[in-house]
Amino acid sequence: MSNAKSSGTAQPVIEVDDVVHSFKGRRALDHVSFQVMPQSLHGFVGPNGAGKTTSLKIICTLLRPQFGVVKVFGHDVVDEQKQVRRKIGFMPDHFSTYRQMTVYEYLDFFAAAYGLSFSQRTRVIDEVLALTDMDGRKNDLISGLSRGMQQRTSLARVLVNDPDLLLLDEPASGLDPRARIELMEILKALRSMGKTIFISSHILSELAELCDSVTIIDRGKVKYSGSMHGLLLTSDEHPAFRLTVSGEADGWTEHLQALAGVLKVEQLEGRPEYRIEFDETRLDTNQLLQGIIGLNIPISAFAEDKRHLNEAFMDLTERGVR
Amino acid sequence: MLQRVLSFGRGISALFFRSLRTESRSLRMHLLWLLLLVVIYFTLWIVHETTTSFGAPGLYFFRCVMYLNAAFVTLLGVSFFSTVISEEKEEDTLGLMTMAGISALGILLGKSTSRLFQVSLLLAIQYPFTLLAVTMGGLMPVQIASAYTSLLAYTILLANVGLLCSVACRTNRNASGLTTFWLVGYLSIPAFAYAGRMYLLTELQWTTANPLHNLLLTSLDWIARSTIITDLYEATATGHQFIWSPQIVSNTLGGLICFLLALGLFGFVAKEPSTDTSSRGLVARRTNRHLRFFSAGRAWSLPLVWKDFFFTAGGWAGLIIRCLLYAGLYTLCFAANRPWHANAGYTIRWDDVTHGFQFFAHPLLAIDIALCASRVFHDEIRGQTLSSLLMLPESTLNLVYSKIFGCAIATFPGFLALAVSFCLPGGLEFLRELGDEPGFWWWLMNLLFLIHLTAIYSLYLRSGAFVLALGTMIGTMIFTGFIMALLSIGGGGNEHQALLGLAAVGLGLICAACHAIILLRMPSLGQR
Repeated sequence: MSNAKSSGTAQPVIEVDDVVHSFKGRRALDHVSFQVMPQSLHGFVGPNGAGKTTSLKIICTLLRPQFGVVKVFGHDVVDEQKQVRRKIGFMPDHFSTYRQMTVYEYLDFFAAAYGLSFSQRTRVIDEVLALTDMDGRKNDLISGLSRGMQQRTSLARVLVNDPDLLLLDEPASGLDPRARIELMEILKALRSMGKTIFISSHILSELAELCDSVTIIDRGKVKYSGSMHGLLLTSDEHPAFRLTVSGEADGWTEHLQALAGVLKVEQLEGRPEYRIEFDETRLDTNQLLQGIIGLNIPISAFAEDKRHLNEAFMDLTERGVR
Repeated sequence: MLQRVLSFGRGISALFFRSLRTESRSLRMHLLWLLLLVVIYFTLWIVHETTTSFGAPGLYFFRCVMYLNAAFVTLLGVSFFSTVISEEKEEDTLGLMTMAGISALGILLGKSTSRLFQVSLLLAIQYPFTLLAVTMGGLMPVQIASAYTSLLAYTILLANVGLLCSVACRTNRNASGLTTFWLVGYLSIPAFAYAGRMYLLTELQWTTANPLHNLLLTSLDWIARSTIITDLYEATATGHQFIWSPQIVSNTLGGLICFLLALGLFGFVAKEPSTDTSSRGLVARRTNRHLRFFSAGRAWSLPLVWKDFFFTAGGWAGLIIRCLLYAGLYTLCFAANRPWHANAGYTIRWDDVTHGFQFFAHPLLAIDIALCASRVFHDEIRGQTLSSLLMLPESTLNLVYSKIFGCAIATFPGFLALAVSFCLPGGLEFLRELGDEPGFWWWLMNLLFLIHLTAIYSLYLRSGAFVLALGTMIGTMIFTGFIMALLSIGGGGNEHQALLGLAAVGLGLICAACHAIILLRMPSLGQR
């Protein structure tokens, strides 16, 4: 697998601008706009029926947007379909495999369909099989593979034309924990190769760990689009840190509150842990830490306070089944 | 005990009403009812227009309606009845039903009786119209009752054969195929029995005086009369009185036997895990050293052609089987033209052998292509692979025609056999003679229509595309025939020929429109 060409300019890989799309009078996408930067792993999160798959199908040229513009690598998905298709690999939320073929036949078919020569195909298939750890199963019928293996086969198919952008729709759904972890490892490896990965998923914990940036969509509207770090920061106004102490846990609240620049201190119920919110204009992280050390508190851990992606997701999306 | 009976009844009624509710909401059923009514009105109109040409318009009208009904029930048999259990298997809901405590008998009765009930209703709504035939003349009410009883017995048989095939097969397609195979036997065995009986009577001079001969002749007579076609004819013959004909008895008993067999088989299939609809068919694995020749090998530089040649049309093994099929057909035609008894003065008429071969080979080729057409797009929809295919940097046009070409290669033996037959004695003359006949071109266009329609239906229906296309083709042919008959009354033969030519052009235009529909439909299916 060749590393993706590094882009000198910071031109977004995906540009979705004010896209509107409706099905039978129901608005699936309502003025959706977001961008995905090169060589990033971008999460696309939303409840069922939020418009994730519709967005993905528009980006991968399967669906024409009714309004708005979508560009992939600067190519319009409506007017320059062929150019877009050559640069992307789309893995739908179902396996989309020819179950009567063997793994090798399946990959060989798609490699040939992308115009690779016989020798190129042999090399590329060996590479993707090695990457997805499927080389031992290449002569197996796809119908006989486990769900996780079929998912890997599908991912291997996406990789045969060496796309710069991977669009993955719910790649981990229905997989057992081991298969999910292994899939995430493969995605990390692909990111390290310089691929841009746009991944729609429900498994928030894994996305939080894996993604650089995220877009949250709900009822066809974008609720958040930006860095994962930005989303997970607890407070909208002031930064916060978590302090874990060893030994005697109680009694430090007042001491911490007395530090200059500290706005709020609360002890987390039942745990030797304090959440400290401070005024970043009066105090930086180093000064805060020095102040805490100065209090002779037995520090066990000191880390930025982040929300879990679950919390952010629940805050941004609306209640109710779609 | 009472609780068990109540629970059993609840299971049946739940399934029965669920099926009724589902079907009554389905547009397909309402369209079928409408279609049948339109056909009846059309037949009435034809009879009205041709009253002067027929002695007994009532009888003519009733016969038309009954044969149309029989054709209609036959089509339902291979599509509607044969999917009753296999559709539950495909959706993985059969296990849920058994887990809900519904017994095998409950599931079979609940599922199949609702469909039988619906079709019976469909036939019952025509009853008042058919009584019109009595007032039109040439028919007695008892004949109507007799014909309807025959039709009901046939429906019961088909419903239960469909049920048995549906229980035995894992997929709708296989169940439908097995029912079709059975139907071919049902319709052809009585014809063979009739031919055999005639042969024994005329050639071998068997008489009923010999008890053994009598037994065999009676048995053959029974088999010959056990088909709906002969029984409907007998029921509508002048002076017919209602009797429990061999067809009514054998079809009803056959239905019951099939139901019991389905019940016996159900226990085994219900225990099977969820469906695995994939099969490599005739394509061997590369790892199989002995059959490596029949494997798909590496993808060709035209990969879509490769894929459909092997995985839709059967690949090299399919090609060889087709070659054998056409060679077998030629051998049969040769055998049929040989004298049955040694005859020193007899020489084979090779012209007749060639004509016979051409007569059967071209519809066989059309059916082969239509069967490929029913799979070429449908398999992609079923396997949810269309989106991946449409994502390839190829135009839809290219994708569609590459796939068609892949199937066309596999059906090449049929084209080759026909081409060779034109070089055989009498082959080209026959073609030349037919080529001048607009009726020949009309027939050829009908075969093309069948192929295109099958492909179109496969894009819209979950199963039964070929059967429905066949039904539509036959319906169109009957309709065109009626119109021709009407228009040519009082007209000359030339007008008739011109109309057939016009009909052929019309069908050609419809086939061209089918290409456009397929090209438009494919992207929208890929969006799903």
